[in-house]
Amino acid sequence: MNVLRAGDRDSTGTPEGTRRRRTAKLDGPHPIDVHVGARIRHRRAVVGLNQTELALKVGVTFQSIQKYERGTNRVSASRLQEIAHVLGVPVSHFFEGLDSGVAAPAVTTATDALTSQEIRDLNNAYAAISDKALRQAVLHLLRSVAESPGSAAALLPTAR
Amino acid sequence: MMAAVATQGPERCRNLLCLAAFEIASGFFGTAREHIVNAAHCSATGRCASPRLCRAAEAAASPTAEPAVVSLPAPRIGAALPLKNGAAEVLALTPPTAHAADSAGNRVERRPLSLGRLQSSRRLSLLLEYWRELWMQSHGAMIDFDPVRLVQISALGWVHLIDVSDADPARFAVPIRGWRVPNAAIGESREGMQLSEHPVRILAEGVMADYAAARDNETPLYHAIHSQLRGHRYAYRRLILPLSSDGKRTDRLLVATDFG
Repeated sequence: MNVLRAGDRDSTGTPEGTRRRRTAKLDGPHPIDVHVGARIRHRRAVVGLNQTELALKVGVTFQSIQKYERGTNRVSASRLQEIAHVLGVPVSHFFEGLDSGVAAPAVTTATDALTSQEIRDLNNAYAAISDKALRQAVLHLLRSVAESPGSAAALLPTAR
Repeated sequence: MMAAVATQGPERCRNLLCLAAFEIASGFFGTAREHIVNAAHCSATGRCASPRLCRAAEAAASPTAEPAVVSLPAPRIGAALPLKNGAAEVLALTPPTAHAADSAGNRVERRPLSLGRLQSSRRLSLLLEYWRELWMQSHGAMIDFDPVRLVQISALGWVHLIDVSDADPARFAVPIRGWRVPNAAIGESREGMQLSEHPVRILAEGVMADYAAARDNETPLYHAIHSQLRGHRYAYRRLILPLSSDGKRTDRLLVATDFG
């Protein structure tokens, strides 16, 4: 196992001990941006506007709307206010359902690595299991691993 | 899961359930859940919970002035015209029309058409236009796919989503089936089935070949199809558009049909 020493750089090139600024490119979209983006899409879809129509009403390109919905680009406060106005909801609508723990630094560190693609893959794989008992077993396994991370090592191939 | 989403519920809410299936395929589960909840609310109370979207979908589904698909001319492959001096000249070939028939009386005729001929189908030409935007933007990434567009261009219910991630075309699957597409020949909804399970073998073989070609070449394909399957006659045009679940590899196809 590699151990970083004082002055060493980690895989991102950041000296140990310094706090690197989070970037969407390296870390993936921030979970809160993903949530806000999904809420924008949800409201837009229910209202029946397509991405281009919303973009025109807000004064951005439809590519920007795509990036907002993905969480790739963060929506500025003023832009979010405009989007809320066009979609007929208060700004708070886009934050509804956010787990308060997501914003806590300790938790974000743990969830940073879980990209939206991983979440989709996990969800798709889980949904593809037709046997209910087997689904329960998989869920039980995941919960067990989450509760005692050390036990996960037993599931992984032995390092050589 | 998606099969259940797209086939349950009252007729009038099928638009919402179909949209939910596309949202799931795009990875937006919250939006899908909202459509499903609205459909359930409609089913329970009889009052539409998403009137703007439903009205748009119903308007989109109403008959249009598109021309009906007419009988195809006889194949011109290798047709010869007599010349004045008694010799014969072989005509330049149009893309070959594929014919297939089986002992059960099923017949399928697939004729490749140029994308330039899409103009005669407003629905398909608008869909191609949208696909080109999407392809330029992100290689047809499903996450950027906007199902509301399907509503607005009258395509909702007329398109299938095909999973072509498997190398073997026989294992291509149909996670979302267009619920408006006539399917009397194959019985109940066949969502989730693999192409190898299709009851009419000659149709499935042609479909596999076309889907594999669209995936491998990453290009749209357009066909006129005439068939007689289990006593039912069908005539329609079909547009196959490549998509991607990760924005890199073509592993999904959007297949739109227009029965005219």
